[in-house]
Amino acid sequence: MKRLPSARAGVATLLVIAAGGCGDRNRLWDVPPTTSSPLGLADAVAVPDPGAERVLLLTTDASRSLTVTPVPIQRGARTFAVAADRSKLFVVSAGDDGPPPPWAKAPQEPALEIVTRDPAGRSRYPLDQPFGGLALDPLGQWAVLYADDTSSGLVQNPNELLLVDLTAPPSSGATSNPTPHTLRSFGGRPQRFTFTEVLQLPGGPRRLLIVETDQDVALVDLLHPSDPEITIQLSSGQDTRVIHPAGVAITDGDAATDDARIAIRVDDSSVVIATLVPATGRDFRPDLNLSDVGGVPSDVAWVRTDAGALALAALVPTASKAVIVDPATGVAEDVALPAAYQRLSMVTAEAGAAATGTASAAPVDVALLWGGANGGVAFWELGRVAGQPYRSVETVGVTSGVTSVVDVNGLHPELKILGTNAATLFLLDLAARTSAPFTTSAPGVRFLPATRGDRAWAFMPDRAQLASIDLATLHPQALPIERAVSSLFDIAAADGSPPAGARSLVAVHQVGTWGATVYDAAAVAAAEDHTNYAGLLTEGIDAP
Amino acid sequence: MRPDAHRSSRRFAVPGFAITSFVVASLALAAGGARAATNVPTPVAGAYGPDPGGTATLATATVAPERPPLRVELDLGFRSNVLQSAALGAFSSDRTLTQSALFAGYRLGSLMSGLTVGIEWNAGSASAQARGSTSSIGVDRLAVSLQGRVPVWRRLVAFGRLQPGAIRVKTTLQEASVAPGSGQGLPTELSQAKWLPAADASGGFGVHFGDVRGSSTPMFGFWLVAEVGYSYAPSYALVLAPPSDGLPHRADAAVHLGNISPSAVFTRFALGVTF
Repeated sequence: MKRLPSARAGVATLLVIAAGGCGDRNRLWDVPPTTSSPLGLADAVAVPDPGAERVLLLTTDASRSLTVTPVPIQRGARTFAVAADRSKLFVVSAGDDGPPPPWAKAPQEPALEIVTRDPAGRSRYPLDQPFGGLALDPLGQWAVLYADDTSSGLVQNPNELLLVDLTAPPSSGATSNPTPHTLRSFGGRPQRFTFTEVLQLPGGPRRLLIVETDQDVALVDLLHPSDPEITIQLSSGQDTRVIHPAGVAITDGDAATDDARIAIRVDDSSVVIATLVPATGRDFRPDLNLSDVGGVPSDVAWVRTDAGALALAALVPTASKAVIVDPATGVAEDVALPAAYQRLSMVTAEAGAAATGTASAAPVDVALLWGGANGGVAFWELGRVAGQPYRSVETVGVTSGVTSVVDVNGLHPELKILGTNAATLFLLDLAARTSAPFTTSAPGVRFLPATRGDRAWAFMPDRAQLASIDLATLHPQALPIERAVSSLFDIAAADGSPPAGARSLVAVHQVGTWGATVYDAAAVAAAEDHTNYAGLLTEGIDAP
Repeated sequence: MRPDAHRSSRRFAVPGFAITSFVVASLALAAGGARAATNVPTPVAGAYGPDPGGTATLATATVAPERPPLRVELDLGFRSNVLQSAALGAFSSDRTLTQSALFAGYRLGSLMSGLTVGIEWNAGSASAQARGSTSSIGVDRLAVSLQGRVPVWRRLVAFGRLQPGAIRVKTTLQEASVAPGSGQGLPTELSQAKWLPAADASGGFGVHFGDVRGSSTPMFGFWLVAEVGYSYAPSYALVLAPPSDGLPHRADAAVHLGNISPSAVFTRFALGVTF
């Protein structure tokens, strides 16, 4: 009888243990698969997984082995972008006050994070504002953050910018990095950001950030990012009509003189040319000239015409013409075009202007005209403009409307892949002025040039179809693939694994917890060999 | 996805027959047995009693047969495991796994004290949602049981058990990103099956709550058993692979979910019968 209390206590203990002892499960198992699109770095495929507070880096080696490396990022990630040279992934996150118990965590502040394959290259810049907009400098020095539609503040000033010098560590105080800069606004809000190369300005070499708002254009001196910007107002102020900037083109002019110019394309029939000239009280000011081009220009570019003269070329598709504007005098000369081309790409180096019979020793440009509804493409030799403009345009036998021009680069910089609105693509040889057609099973096939430039990959989004095109022999080869392709990447395989310079083709399948198919991007005989991976988003959650 | 879609749905699998009907039937039998033990007079040698016709006659003197003690023990119940490895969270929303518990043993010693040698089989599974994909884990355990028991109070005994054995762990992930095999439509399963050595150490209590008596000695004894212990199994790499179809030019890689250990703290409740 004396042992009864202890026996009851023992039974009670068993019941408590049975009812209680449930373990904690990692909450990431309850996070649905990410819907963010993967991004291609030079040596990895980055899979944003913001719900799990991480980015997955998919890396490969020469044996088609794929490794999944989770890199933690902050909570509230909104924007993911890759540097122009594909060396870094930028992540803009808003942070938060921390999730509620039982998953309580420390609060996180907004930040710009840099993710690289090499852990030594990763860094984080704290931000004052939970901005979501991000614009990157093609030269890799600057990043601009701004309030966009994804930003979460209760009240935000869309003209407030944060300029991040990516070559300097984060700092605070008088020379803080990021540097806050609020644009003086006349009612507009930023639409586009353009970083110039180094320009020889009256105050010395300078880089500018050109901010196109929906009403005007602002010039921010990146040498003094906290100084007030220069605003170029496009509307006259005499009426209620608002003119919207639609794009800019920049030239440093002749290196010996202070004649850097910015051409501003607007949505009426004119082009504004701002010449950056010396000023009192500051280093430079814009001297504005307005040139009427006879219609709304769809694209503009600075070009070198006869004898190397600098001119502004503007396409006016509504009149099926191009216009050459002398920046000094503002005089415009029309050049009739065989079609209503919308876009203009400079292909001077690849097209070999000297081989076209241009007599002048001075540099002259060749432009590729494209984007017309059914006009194919045309070469525009700007060295022949003066005096005989009607002879300066040469069409190529592309019959469909060209919707995209993809540079091949690598071994074949003279090649361009022309996407069309039909089930046809063309491989345009700028040097030989030939265009080889390829037919596809359906419209919408996408192309990815191999980094080496020796071949191109073709795939149909959301279908299990993949092909390789040898750009030397123009021979297409179907590659076996079992799952629908969402996106395709050509990346460097792991450093140090033989052979050096190995590359992988990675097809990503955004279904379930995501899969990938890996090919040897350099293989010829074993081009069809591939390795399938599945369940990518499940890796690294509980793994050590 | 429904809010409750992520929750685990643990299944209590009892191969062969339903535990519910067993428990009900056993309790009813135990109650009837208890009544029988109360109402049936115990024949005593040389005693007199009424005959069926109401006439007093000399009853036949009987001697109770010598019954052997209750040697064989059968237990049926359930066992709840709290898995210790975090990686198993992919397969169970609360990292618990419930198994059926079936035990057969032979008792040495008396009813309330002595040793029991036997075999225990446990089987059970759990499933969950892992990032939107259905996952499951199934664990079978076969072990030799060595149990010692001592009386604690009247019908209560305390016991300790050691159970060396083996377990088979099968983990699966129904995953849409798995490449379909040749001519199989869309088979989308990653799986791994692993045999491991295992050992349990546990202790508990048993309550002898009723008998069925055929004569002066019980024919069946009924027990409620509660037990807690720790089950050890070595850790291994959780590598889930798709079925191989041997297609040319194709290789299928496995998914690595980390190292796991099926070790668990467990509780076990069972209804037993000895005969």
